[in-house]
Amino acid sequence: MNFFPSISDPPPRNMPSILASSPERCDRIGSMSVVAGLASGPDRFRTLYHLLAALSRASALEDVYEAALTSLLAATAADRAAILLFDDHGVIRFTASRGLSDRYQAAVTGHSPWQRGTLDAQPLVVADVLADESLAPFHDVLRREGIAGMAFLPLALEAGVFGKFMLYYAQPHECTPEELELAGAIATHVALATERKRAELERAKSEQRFQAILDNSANVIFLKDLQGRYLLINQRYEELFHVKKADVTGRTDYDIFPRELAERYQANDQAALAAGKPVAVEEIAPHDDGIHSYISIKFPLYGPDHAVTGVCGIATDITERKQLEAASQRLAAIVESSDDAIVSKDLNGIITSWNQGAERIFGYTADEAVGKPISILTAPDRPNEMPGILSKIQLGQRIEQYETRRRRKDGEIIDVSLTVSPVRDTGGKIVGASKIARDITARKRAERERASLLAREQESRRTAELLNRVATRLSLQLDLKKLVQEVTDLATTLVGAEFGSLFHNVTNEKGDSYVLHTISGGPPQDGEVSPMPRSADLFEATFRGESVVRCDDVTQDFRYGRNPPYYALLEGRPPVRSYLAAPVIARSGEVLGGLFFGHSAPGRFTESHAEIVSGIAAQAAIAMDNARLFEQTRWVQEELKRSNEELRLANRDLEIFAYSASHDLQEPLRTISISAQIIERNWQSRLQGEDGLFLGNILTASQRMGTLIEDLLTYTRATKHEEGPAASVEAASVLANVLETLQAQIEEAGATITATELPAVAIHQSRLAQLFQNLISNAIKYRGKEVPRVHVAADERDGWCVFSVADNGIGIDPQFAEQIFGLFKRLHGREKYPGSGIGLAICQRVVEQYGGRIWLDKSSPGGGSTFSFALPSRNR
Amino acid sequence: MLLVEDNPTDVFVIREVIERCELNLNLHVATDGQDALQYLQSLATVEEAACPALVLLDLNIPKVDGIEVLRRLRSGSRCSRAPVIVVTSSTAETDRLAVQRLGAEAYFQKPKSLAAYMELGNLIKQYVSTG
Repeated sequence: MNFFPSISDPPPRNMPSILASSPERCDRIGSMSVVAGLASGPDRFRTLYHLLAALSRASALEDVYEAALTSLLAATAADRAAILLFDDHGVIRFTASRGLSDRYQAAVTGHSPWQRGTLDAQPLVVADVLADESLAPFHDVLRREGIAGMAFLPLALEAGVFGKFMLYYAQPHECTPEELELAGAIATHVALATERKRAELERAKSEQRFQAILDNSANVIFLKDLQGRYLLINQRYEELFHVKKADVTGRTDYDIFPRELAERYQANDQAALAAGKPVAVEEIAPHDDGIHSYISIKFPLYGPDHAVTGVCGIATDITERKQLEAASQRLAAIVESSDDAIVSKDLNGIITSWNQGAERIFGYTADEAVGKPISILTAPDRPNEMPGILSKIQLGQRIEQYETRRRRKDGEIIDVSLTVSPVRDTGGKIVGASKIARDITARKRAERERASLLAREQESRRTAELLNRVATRLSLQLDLKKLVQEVTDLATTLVGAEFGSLFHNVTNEKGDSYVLHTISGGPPQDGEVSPMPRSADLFEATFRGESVVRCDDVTQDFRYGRNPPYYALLEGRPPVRSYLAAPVIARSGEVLGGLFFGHSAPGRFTESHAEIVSGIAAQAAIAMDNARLFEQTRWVQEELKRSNEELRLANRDLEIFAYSASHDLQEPLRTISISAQIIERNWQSRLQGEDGLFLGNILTASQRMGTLIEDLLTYTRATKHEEGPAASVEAASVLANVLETLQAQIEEAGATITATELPAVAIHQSRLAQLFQNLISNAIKYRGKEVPRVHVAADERDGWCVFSVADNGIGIDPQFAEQIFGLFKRLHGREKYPGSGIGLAICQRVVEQYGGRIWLDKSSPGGGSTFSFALPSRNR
Repeated sequence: MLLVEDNPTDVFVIREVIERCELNLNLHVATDGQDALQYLQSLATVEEAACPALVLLDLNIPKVDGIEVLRRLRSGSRCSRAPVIVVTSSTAETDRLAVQRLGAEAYFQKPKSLAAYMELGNLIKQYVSTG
């Protein structure tokens, strides 16, 4: 657009050289000196004066332009004038004009002899526009506009040209120097005024912008002078504290806030001023909803001369942040103080936080752990777990109470219980995972121990129950043969043996002893007599009655027979490798036999099995003992029954015999006797001398024989073996019965019978009664002149009951002590002391039947007698 | 009156006892059980014959013993009600009981003394049927 001559060209020849040679005259400063330097008339003064007045009154740039135009038109011969300024793009435009058409303006807009910022620009006069070839393109426009002459006056400041005045002449016109001078002066003033105004506007705009920023800030912003008076507050301030800028400006904090707060604010302001640079302080301020906390950045405001003019403050509401901080701190404290490991990791599995609990549990410090991948904790046996967990987390899932194992820094493997949850950012996106791990090693160990204890307890209980049932079953089985088979079968099953065997000693009724064995699990074998197994080594320990033998592999054990066939307990079976044996020992210590179990696979018998077998062996011992006892008892009982039967038969025969014998003997005697009596009656008077005597003899003898036969019968009856066992009888009560029986004899003789305490004794009651009856009857019968006194006593010594019957009768010559016990033996005539002499004989037989003895303890003729008999004591 | 007894000495004595009773009854003696039963049987056939006023019965007799005779007498149709005194040397309690059960009137133990034998007379007088 440079069709105007540029300023580097020499000034047009029309230019007054004065202006051309004194650039300082175009200086904007010192308007009055310029004015004074001109040879001006009073018009010029007046014009300038008006201009200045108008400029000082001007509130807006338009006013300035108008004033300028007015002055220009007044000061020059121009008909019309315009002011043009460069816009932001550097295009010169009409800003104000007088008398110019829009069309013209539009046509010449943008054309300027100078560019913006051109320095040292000089006025340019075109006296005759139509004569100027450089303006040729505009001739038409000019002509139409009626412009013949023009003058270009630059508007310039330090920064160069920023616009121009235009003077338009209707006639070609040569500007006089005064004209140009004046116009130049006006231009300078206007430039200054414009610039000032512009600057004002800029400042106002700047201020507005500044205020807008302040007002749009969420922070509380304020400005105070050195005395603490508010110079400026932003909108937020207004809103929060319910004040208006206008009200606050010039006031202090003391006018707005309570005293304590105001004091604090002031103090902080002073601190900022003292520091000479920004300080950050925490302040509180009252909101409608309570006290809020702020971080206030306060800094001293410096003026253009580096003097402090005031204090500026920007306060950020950190209440929420503080709350969050507090919550966060609490959380952090909880995390830190937690015994559990609380670890967070990002989505790549890198550890981002590590609390004290984690340090303790895993052994890594926070420094060591943070930044490392979480896989440092992986337990060797669970390599794929962590990725699995992470993928779950990424799906937003949570893992709760998941029990697993982890590896500590020192390599130890621990049991942990994990709870893993996703961590989200404020947008809700999952950015990582938070893991809480609890060390449950101790618990797990306790659980395992408990489980194993429980298992063992259950095992023991099962074993005990098992043994109980075994015991019950065995105790019911009294048949020895069946018993041993049951024992073998049971035991073999219980220990899981392939086969088992019970060897036991047996004694039969004849007293022969031999060894039987029963088999379980093998091919059926005759359980009868078999030789002792040849592999004595193997069985010896058991037959000696030593403890349970348990061997995981008997082929490897040097203690046992080395010849391979001997490993087989039975012929035709595979060799035994697992071996278990227990002796069966009776309560007396006698080794009843041995239980043996085998299995072709090694290591089949555990300690538990050994315990079971030991238990069964004990039960078996008891059961076998009982069975043996039972059998023996059975024999004895049978024997007893048999002998009892024999006795009964014998007794019966004896009775029959005795009775019929005595009866058959008695009958003829009776006939003899009756016949003799008849003869005696019929022939008594006629019998002479000795004939009568002989007849008498017949009678006497036959009577005597009759008595003897009776006595014999009595003796036979009295001395037969009593059937049944001799129960224990109370001698005292037997004596009482006997005394009742002898009542008549006792009364007739006036006898007194006394007795000491009498024990119980093992003898048939009737027999003891016989003994007492015979002895006491004798004692009374063989009395002397005194009233008979009989004393019965008893004494237990050395396992014998010794009874004694002492009387005060006629006594016995000791030389006859043995004789008197003979059958039918008497020491006195029958006439004096009746009786056949069988009493003592009966007593002797009776006593001897019970293994006892009877004897004449002491006696002397006329000194009474004491008979004693000893019977086995009941307690023997 | 019927006497069933095989021992002549006893027969002799018992005859004397009966005579002392002055009952004026015929006495038939049977020396064994069979004989006795036949006699009793014969009574059954004779119309006019009356049952014995008394039967003195020894138990220890040949052929058919006294218990059996008594049983048959008591269970028979003739003279089953005839009074019976058992005169025996048996001391067996079983005999005494059997005799009692079979409805004998008395049980007389043959004594050893002659004098005691005379006691039988009282029993005879007591039990002989008079009608």
